[in-house]
Amino acid sequence: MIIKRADVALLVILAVVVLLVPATLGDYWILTFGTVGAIALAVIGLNVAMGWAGLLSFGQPVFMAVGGYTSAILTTRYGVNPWLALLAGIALSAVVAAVIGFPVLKLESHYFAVATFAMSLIVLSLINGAQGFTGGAIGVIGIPPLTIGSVNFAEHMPYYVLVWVLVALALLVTYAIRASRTGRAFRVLAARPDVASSLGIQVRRYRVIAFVISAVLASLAGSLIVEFSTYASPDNFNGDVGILVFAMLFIGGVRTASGPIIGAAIVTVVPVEATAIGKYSALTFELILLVILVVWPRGLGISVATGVEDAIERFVKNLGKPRASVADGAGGLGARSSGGGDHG
Amino acid sequence: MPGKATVMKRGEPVGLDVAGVSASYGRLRALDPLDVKVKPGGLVLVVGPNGAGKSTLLRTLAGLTAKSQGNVVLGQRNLSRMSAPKRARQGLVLIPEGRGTLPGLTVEENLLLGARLGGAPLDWGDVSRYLPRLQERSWQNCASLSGGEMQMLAIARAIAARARLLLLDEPSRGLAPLIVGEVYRALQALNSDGLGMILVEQKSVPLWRAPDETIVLAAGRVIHRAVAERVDEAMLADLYMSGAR
Repeated sequence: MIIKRADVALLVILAVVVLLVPATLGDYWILTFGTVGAIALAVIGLNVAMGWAGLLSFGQPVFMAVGGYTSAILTTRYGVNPWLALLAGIALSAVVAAVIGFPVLKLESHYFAVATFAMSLIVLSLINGAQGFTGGAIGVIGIPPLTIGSVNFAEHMPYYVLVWVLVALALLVTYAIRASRTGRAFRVLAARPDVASSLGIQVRRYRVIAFVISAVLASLAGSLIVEFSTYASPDNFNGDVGILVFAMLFIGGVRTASGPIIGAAIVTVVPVEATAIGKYSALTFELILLVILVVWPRGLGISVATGVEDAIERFVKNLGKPRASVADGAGGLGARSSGGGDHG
Repeated sequence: MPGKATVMKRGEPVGLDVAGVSASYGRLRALDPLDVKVKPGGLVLVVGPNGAGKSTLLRTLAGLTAKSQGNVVLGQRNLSRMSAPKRARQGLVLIPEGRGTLPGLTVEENLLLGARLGGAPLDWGDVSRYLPRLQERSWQNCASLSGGEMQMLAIARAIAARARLLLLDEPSRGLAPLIVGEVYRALQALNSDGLGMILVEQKSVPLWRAPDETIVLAAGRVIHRAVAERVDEAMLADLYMSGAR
């Protein structure tokens, strides 16, 4: 099965939430959920690279920065149309991912992870160092927004709509890839990299393809963020962002469709809301993350949804059975234990 | 009995001619140079204790060992300079130890990978001729299969890949004798239809027919070759005692 029933249910719930937010909540939440959607694009990209192809990558901020700064520099310095600048950022990210990826993806697992983290530090140094071009630590200001006719995507509602349409498209496209020959090759790389070659799969080639897909989505996220805020800063793309994107995927659920969105929502919303607690807000947020990872290592959304699905199945099974009397209580136990656990 | 058409879709049976193949891991020589000949539709059994170099031999033939030398010729085609994926596409298919099935993928997805390797669409008819019960489980995640079913699936994937010669690494390992019988029956049908095989086992096991040659490995070198001679457990024990470095 391409996508689990519980995951589909979560997607439906998320779609309803996304549709209801503008109708029921205020401008603040439209802005917040718009930001969640933009970050979720980078997390969806990481899900392709890490969840499906087994690439332990901290490289998402690298490509967010390439996308963001390409948009920023092309529009402010050369007067390029923001949409074209966004596409140029995506193209450049794909090229950078392919060129860097080919040698780096020779490295296995943890070595590759460290290499991607080093890449994010290098990009940050380059941004800070090339002050005349990137604005250094100050960044680039006055980036023109994305527009179509009179619709300005730097305004909250149009931005919200644009971002969530792109998230839906990203999910559709990545899941179409997952079901394709390429997606099967990715999953072989994740499950049994030692077997991939003997199945005729060019290991490095498919790793590069997965890395490029993740880079494209990260670049899109980076461009959307700077075009919306009309400001590009190195702080938007530092190593912490790579770790947070990584955490978002684990908290939401690796290898699930809903996970990137749920993870992005938790990591974006909880710290802001936790500020109400006062001086221990950061600690509270970090503890929440830790608890989620320990209690639901498969991801919060999918664990809860699968639990609910199991409970419903048990309830439906028990509906058809005669009520157990006190004397045959063991039968009731048996029914309970036989109900769960057959969801692979 | 299945017809020859299924496994011979790529053409007539081919043999494998291996000359002077050796392998190293860094500076450590894992396999001394050795020759193996598998005639078209033939069967060669390789036995040896743990660490003898049996898996290394198969991995080297499949192109998976980083440092290797020697000639590997499948039919008329020299594969020596080809990468592992290219060798597999030529029809030299390895079924590795631990079956090589892919958790997270369904039975059918595993077979689609094989079909892709063979360059032809998946034909369930081809698979079902040898393994009739597999199609019932086409949508099952292969992680939920039993060990025997996983081994069947690995063989089925090789059928879907239109393998021209199979390299089988301990297909009986960890399986109950009854299941081993089932696995061997499928291999027997394929072998009878002209699919050549190099079969690696830890012990001298009763096969569906006498192998054309039995090669005994220990500590990375050949310590005995038996043509038309049964190598029993007592003989193996003697060979291991005398042949180990």
